[in-house]
Amino acid sequence: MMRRRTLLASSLLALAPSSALAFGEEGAFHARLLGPLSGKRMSDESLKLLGSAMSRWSFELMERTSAPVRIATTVVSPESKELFDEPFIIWTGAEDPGTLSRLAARRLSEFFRLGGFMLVDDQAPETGAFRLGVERELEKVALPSPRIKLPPDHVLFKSFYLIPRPVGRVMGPSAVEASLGVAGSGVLFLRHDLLGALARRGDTWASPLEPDDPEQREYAIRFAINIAMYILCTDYKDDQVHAPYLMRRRTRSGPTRPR
Amino acid sequence: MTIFGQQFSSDLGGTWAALVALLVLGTFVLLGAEGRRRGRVPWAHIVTGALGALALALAVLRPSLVRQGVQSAPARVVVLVDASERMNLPATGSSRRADVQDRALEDLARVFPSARLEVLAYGDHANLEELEVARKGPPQIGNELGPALEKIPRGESGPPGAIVVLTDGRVSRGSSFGRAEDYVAAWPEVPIHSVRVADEPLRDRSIASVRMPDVVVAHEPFHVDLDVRCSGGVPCQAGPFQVRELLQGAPPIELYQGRVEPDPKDASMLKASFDITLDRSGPRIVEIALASDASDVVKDNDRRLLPVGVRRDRLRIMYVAGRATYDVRALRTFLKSDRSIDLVGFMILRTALDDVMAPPSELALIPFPVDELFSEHLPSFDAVVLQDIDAEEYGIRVHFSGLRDYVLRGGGLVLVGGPESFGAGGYAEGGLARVLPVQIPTGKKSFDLKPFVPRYTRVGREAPMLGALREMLGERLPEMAGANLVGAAAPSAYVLWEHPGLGPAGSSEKSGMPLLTLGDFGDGRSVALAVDATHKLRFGPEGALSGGRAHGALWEGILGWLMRDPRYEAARIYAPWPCISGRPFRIEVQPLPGVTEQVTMQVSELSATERAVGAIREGETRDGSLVSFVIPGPKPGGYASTVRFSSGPASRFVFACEAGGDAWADTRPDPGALKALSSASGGVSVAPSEIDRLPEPSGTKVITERTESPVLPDAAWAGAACFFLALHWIVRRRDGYL
Repeated sequence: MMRRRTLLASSLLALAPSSALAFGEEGAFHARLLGPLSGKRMSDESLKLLGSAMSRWSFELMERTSAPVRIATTVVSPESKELFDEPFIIWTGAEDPGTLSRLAARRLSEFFRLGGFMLVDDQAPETGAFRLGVERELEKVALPSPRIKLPPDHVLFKSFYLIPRPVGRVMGPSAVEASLGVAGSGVLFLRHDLLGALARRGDTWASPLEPDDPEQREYAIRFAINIAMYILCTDYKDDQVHAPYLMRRRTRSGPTRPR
Repeated sequence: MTIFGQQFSSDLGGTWAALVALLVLGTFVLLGAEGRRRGRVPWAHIVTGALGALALALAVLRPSLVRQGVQSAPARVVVLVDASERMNLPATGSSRRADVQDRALEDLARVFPSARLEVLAYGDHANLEELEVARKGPPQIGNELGPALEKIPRGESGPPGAIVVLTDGRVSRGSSFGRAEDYVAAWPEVPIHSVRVADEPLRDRSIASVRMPDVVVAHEPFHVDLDVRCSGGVPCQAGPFQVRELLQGAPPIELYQGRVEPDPKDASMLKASFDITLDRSGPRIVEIALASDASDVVKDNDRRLLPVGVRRDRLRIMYVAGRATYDVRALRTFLKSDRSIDLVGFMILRTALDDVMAPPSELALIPFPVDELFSEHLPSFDAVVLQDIDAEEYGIRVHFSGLRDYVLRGGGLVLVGGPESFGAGGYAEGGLARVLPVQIPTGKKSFDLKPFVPRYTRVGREAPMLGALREMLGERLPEMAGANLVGAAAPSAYVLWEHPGLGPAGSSEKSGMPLLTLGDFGDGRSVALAVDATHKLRFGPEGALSGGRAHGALWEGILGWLMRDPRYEAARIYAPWPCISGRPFRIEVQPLPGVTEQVTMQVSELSATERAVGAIREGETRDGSLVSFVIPGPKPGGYASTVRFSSGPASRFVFACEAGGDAWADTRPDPGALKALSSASGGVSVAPSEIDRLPEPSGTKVITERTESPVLPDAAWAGAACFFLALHWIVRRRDGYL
């Protein structure tokens, strides 16, 4: 039996790129792509690969978790008000991203103030050109907090799967840096080309992995799912630790009357 | 009869008259001294000089003749009648103390036939009143005799001839009478007689006092000290008592059961100390009841009904979401951002059909502890929020009856929409319907997929809980991609948002399906939100317009209303005096500014059956800013009055009615205090049967007529003075003195 949300997602896929949404899908996880900055252009091939990666991400999330997803790829200009339609955006590339206009910087600052979350995914971490360019441009933006290196016990590594380290197309550094604020806002800086590990070309994976560990792609998918669940649930898994404590505290100081 | 008398008077004061007399006397002395110096008595000099000085003095004093009539008036006797609730206690046999007072008043008229009786009632109000007015008016718990004595008016003829007090001697709320001299100080010259309307203590065991806070914190235990008094020879033995919280539409909650034990310091007292905890916030009624004793004359004071305000230092919310979505993210973030909320949240991250491609050891998932949450821990939460979760699949449905009772006992419930909520989630069946503000259809189609923008209802526009949201966005609301199909609102519910293009499920209407609906059920409240995208008030065009604050404003209003935050009630409701059974009880409703609709009130007992009690609309101020309702004669018990504004926002006021209340906490009279009072003032203290012993005060003399006329005209005195002084001068000149 096809599940309701699969059915809805499939129908959405068929409707894409229409913006019409079905009941229950408005709040669904949706990986949106931050459009190229002024003066830059994204090739059709690149867009197609990124679209396939984001679709795969959504598909895996849908298959493995309860979270509803929207598979249709959306590209959002940093200068447009559509940036505020949803709380998640991905900024990815392999080269220097160019320059954020003052309007775009203002919009991004507002995006974070509202509680938005951005994933910065470097497709070519070996060169670092994109990462350095993004870091330069984000200087113009009011980020939620100073950048920090996330500890291994951070909720990002246990939001769904228990994973020891970030993994993407490349193994990259064993830690990730992030700027995390209140109300779920944040920026996650990846140097692992996560979307590269998820991109498809036809029926096969688009990019080989480095090193080509047989389980690396599975761990990349798990990491992507953890990121999605972190965006959807924020620090919920930390609550799980707190909940029994709260209950014990309630029972301890609780009423004397018989229940 | 008028008696007339005459006397001389002068228009000069006594000091001047004395001064003039001294001067005249001095003149005589000088004349005498002059005669002695000359060796012979100059009688002509002395006589003319004395007459001259005397005439001159009379010219100065101008004497007049006063004639006045005096009448004897009846003595004014002020009768102070204790009008407190104590007087409804038995005196002897079947007579109430108030009955004894009435008979004593009749006897006083007989015993004091010539006196003018002025009967005034006193209690705990600021002023003395006429007895009939006091007895028909608000109940008076206290009987402040000291202030009442001070407030007796002085009267035209001065202090009263006597004061007679009709009471049992026990002053306000069982406190000690104090020094008799302090009472006498107001009228030191006036005898204060007393008629003791009760002399012997009743055979009674009563709850003498309950010491506990008026305001407590939800979920936090608080201490209660209970004192029980035995009087009139009733055995003072240990015995059981129970403490319960009265609820609307549900059986009382047993809070404590214990025993009162003899007080080692006082053989007439029993004591108990214990802790209880109230879990539901808002105004609550706690009942403390002793086990019945057949020999007890006054059984009503074996039970106290005490209002307690329950506040919370922290709000404890159980939040369960069926799927991880942006809507869940927004709501959870809001709940987490409020430091006054203890959030116990559970989200279903994986369904049975999901293929996680990993062994459990590689997953950070735990089983959803549904049974533990919805049975053991449910009462400890202030509110439960169920968002888009299939109740059937996740085992919540078997707990629907517990969830229903939880709401009826004062809990809050929010049902948030989504594809797995309302009808699709199995909420139409299983016993939860009684506490849901909307009907849930059981048909196959459980949600609609057409996009729409919700619209405010007339009630929604006036609801204080949406005030902050409307201030930010006005009428604007975000577009929704669909809605759960729900039926009409429950009779006790009201709708704030509705569907512009769909009618309630099962009806032929083309619009108006409830989307945001609130309802009061028993002691609790519930909210049904049949959409799943309020997160767009944070992220989305409307979110951007309000800087993301609109989402928080909506949910703060929803939770605030759910928890009876006064800011989100449509009116301020209060009672100007305590409720005493059998006496008219007034409730005043002050609608918030802007709430202009017609006000109605329903009153029902706090009990499982919720028996309705009649409330009569008494009137309202011209501008509608205050509306009064009167309950003619409620019986002892806890009550909840629900105030509604036409079809709209309801507010609740909880109150307790007692027989006697604090005034019956100590039934013992205090004859010794009255005897001491009368003795200290020179009065007499008598039992009602001895009232003939009271001495009638003598009448007061009143001047009814007064006339004043001069003995001679002023000019005659002056002329006589001139004549005698001139004659004196001639005599002296004749004798060669000049």
